[in-house]
Amino acid sequence: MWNYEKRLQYPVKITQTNPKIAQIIITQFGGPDGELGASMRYLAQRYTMPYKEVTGVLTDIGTEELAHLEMICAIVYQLTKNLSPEEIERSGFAPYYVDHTLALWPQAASGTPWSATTFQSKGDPITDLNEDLAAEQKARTTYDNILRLVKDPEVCDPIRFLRQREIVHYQRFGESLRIVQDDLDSRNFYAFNPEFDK
Amino acid sequence: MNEQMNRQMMNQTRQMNRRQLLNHINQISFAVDEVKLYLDTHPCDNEALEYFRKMSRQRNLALKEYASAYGPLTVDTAEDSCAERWNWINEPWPWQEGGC
Repeated sequence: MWNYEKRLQYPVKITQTNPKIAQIIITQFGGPDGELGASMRYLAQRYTMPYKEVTGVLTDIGTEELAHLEMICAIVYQLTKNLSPEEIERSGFAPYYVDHTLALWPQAASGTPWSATTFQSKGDPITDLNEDLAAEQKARTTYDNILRLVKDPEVCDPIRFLRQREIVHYQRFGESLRIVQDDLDSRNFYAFNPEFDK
Repeated sequence: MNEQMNRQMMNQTRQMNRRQLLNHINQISFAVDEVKLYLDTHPCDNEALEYFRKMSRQRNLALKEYASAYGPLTVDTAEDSCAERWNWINEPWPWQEGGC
């Protein structure tokens, strides 16, 4: 069960439109290392997770990623608000516009639609947590790449906040992996799969 | 003790304008989010537990205060917004101007 809270996790207030940058940032909505995939990954993995601390982390980070998805959409929305046909043509936004007008749709910067094939839910805690650690770093790199291209401080500010969250989540997943491994046989972590073998 | 602290906090938040109160809610909510994640992997950290209690209490009071002055941010505080009509849809959404 989820409840909606009518505010962003961190404020987004962009006064200058910029459809070029919007097309890049939209990748964190529906791209391979974006917030939608992040949320679905953690929320899918949690059902069979046998460690209560890790189930908590997956639930709470998976939920926070939904708030990040909303921030990314707010950024893209504000960067493309009230665009004129001339601005759309000039900025290279026309291929997106023809399919979606100014609505939000989860795609990568390349135009590739969002896909569940960008993540795994493997059913093995060591495997899944290593995937989660990598996912946080991939998202962090994406935000670093975005920050090299964006000059507008009103856009950089919320992007920096999102980048920092990747680092905090990485830390929590690291602790989760340690909790799992402390419980397993240190001579052979792979002797059995605690999500399957009883 | 708690009663007194609550009243003090209420008085503080009452003097804020809408933007200040919303920023205050964003800040304490962030503190709650952050310590909640930490507690998931450190469930016995007493200092963190105490911090969670303090921040969570402040957050709930501020959400009530906001609802009664400007309209609800959550369904649980919708009742505090003692209006004649359904305010949930009237106040701007977070991505719109005047929202978030």
